[in-house]
Amino acid sequence: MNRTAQLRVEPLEPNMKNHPAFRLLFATALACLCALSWGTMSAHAQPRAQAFLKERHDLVRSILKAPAKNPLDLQARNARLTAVLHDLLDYEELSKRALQDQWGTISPAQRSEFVGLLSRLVERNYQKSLESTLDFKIRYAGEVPGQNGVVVQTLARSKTNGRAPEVAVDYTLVERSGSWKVFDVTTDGVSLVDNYRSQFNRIIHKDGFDALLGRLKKRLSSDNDLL
Amino acid sequence: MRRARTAKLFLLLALYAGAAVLAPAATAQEASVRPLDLQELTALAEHHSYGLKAGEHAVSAAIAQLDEARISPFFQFRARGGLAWVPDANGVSGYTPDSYNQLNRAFGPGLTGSIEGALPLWTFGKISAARDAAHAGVRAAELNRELTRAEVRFNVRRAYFGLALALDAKQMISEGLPKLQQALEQLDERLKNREPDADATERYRMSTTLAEIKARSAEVQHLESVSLTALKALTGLANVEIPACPLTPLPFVPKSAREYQELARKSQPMLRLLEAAQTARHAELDATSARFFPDLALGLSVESQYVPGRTPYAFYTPLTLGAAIVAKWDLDLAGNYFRTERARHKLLEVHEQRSLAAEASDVNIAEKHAAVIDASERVQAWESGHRDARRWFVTAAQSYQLGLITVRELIEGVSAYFKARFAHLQSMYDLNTSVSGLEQAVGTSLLPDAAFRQRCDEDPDED
Repeated sequence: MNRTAQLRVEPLEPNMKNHPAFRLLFATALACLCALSWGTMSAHAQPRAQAFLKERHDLVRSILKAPAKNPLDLQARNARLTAVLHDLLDYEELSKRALQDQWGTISPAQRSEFVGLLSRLVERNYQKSLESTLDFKIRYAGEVPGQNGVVVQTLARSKTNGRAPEVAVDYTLVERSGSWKVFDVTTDGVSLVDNYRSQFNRIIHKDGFDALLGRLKKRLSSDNDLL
Repeated sequence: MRRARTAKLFLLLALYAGAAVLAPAATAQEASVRPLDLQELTALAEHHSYGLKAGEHAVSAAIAQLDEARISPFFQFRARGGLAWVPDANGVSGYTPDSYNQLNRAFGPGLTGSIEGALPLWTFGKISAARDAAHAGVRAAELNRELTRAEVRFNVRRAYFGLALALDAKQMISEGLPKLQQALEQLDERLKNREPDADATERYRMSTTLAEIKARSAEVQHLESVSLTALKALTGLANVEIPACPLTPLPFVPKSAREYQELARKSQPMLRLLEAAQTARHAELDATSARFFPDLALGLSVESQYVPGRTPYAFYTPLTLGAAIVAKWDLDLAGNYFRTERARHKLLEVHEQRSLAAEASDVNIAEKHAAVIDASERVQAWESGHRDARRWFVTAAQSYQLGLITVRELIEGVSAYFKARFAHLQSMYDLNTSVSGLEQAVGTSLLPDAAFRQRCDEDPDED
C-alpha cells in the first residue's frame, strides 16, 4: 500500500534524482520510431508527394501481408521490400546532406563507400522492424513546401496498443526525373539528416573521416543489437 | 507536502477499504463488455451508489414531512363511535314504565357517534414555522444527496485517473523491461567472452536499473489493482475496462483562489446545508416564541345517538351540531421561556458553525487551488521535458543504429525519455485529480462533463 501511495503521490522524478536512471529502452516504442522512419513510405500525387508516399506505403504493406511460408518466401519478400525502399530512398542525397561540410573534401571512392555503407545499415535496420509497421495506423496530414523539397506530414498510432504515444513522422521528398525520392525523415521533430550531420561532424572532427567509416563498418559487422 | 501525501494515502486507503466492503455486491452484477469512458462510469456509479439511493429516500421522506406540515393542521378532527346491546328505554323524562330489573326488559342495539375538532384561525406563526422547518428539512436532504453525489464523482474520477496512469506506466514498462533484460544478457555474454570493450561497471549499473524497474512495475500493478477494485465497487460491475487511450490533462484554466472561494459561498453543498439548518433552527425559534400566545380556532362538533324502545323525546337528542370560537393556551410560560432560550442558542450555534465552515471551505479551496496550480505547472514543464527527452531518444536510436554512439549512450537517452514520460504522466494524473478535488470543494462544475470523458478521438481516414 505504501508503495502505491508513493507512486500516486510523489512523481518518480524526485525519487530518481540519485539514480543512474529509469533505464528502459525500448521495444515497441523504439521499434515503431525506427520502423516508421523507414517503413511507411510510398508513391504518386494529388497532393502528389503525399499520394506517392501513400502508394508506396500501401505497396510495402501489401508485400508484408503476403504470406511467407518458408525461408525462401521470406527471402524473396525481403528482397522485394528492399527493392521498393531502395527505389524510394535517395541515399546519395541523404549522404550528401548529412556530410554537408565534408562532402566536397572527400574522394569519389570515399563517397561511394560511405553511401554504400549507409544504405546497407539503413536497409538492415528497416528490415528488422518492417513487420511492426503493420501494427500502426498511418494518418496523412497533408503536405507543405519545405526548404529543400516537399514535406509530407503523417501521424502514426499503434493499432495494438492505444496507450502508446502517437508518433509524428514527416518525409521530405524531391521530384527527380518525374519520380519522387525521400531524402530526409523527421521523427517527432528530429531530422534524420540533421542528426546524422551532427553525429558525423562530431566523429570526423575528433577522429577523422576514416574513423567514421570504421564505425559504420564495425556496426555493419556486428549482430549485437538492442533495436 | 508530507501532510498532503498523508492525506492522499489516507484517501487511497479509505477508497480501498470501501471497495473491499462493496466488492461482494459488485460481483453479482453483469460484467461490462466494452470499454467505458469516465463519463459512462460516473453515470453508472451514480446509478449504483447506495449512498445516493439512501439520499433519494431521505429526500422523499422530507417531502412527505413537508406535505404533512402543510395539510395536517387543518385536519385536527376526531371521530368517536359506539355500538352496544342495551335494554330498551320507554316513557319520558319524568316517568318510565320500565322495570328496575333491567334483565326483564327487551334488549336491542344502541348506537352513538360523534365528530369533533377545530379549524385553526390564528396560531401566531406556529403553523408557518412548522412548514418552514419542514421545507428546510427537504432542502437539507437534497443537499446531503448532492454531497454524496460529489463524493461518488470524485471517487470515480480518482480511481479512473489512477487506473489510466497505471495502464500507461505498465505499457511503458512492458516496452522497456524485456529490452533491458536483453541488453543485460548481451553484456553478460560479452563479459564472459572477455571482450575488451565490455564494462563490468556498466553491468552493475544496468542490473541496478533493472531492479528499480521491476520495483516500479510492482507499484504500478498495485495501483492498477486498487483502482480497478475501486471502480468495480463504485459501479457495481464485475469487470471494468477503460478505453485504451493515453492519459490526457483536463483542459482546465485555473482562475484565482478568491473566485473559487466566492463561488463556493453560493454553491458548496455543505455551506448550503448549514444554511438550511439555520432556517430550520429559525423556524424552531419562531414556533417556540409563538407558544407564548394562545391558538385561536373554530371548534366544530357533530354528535348522534340511537337507543331501542319508545322514547319520543327528552331521553336523548338524535343529532347534535355545535360550533364555537375556541382558544387553547399553554400556560407553561416560564418553561416556554427556557425553551425559547434554548432555540435561540441553537440558532446561534448553527450560525457560528456556518461561519466556521465558510472559513474551513476557504482554506480547503486555497489548498486544492494550490495543488491545481502546482500540478498545472508541472504538466507544462514535463510536456516540454517529455518532448525534448523524446527527441533525445529518437536521436540516440538513430545514432545507435549506425554505430555512432555506445549502448550506454543509447540507454541514457532512452532512460531520460522514460523518466520524463513517467513524470509527465504523473503530473497529468495529479492535475486531473486535483481539478476534480477543487470541483468537489467548490461544489459546482468547473468543466463540462464532456471534458471528463477521456476517450480517444477516432480518425476516420486512418488506414
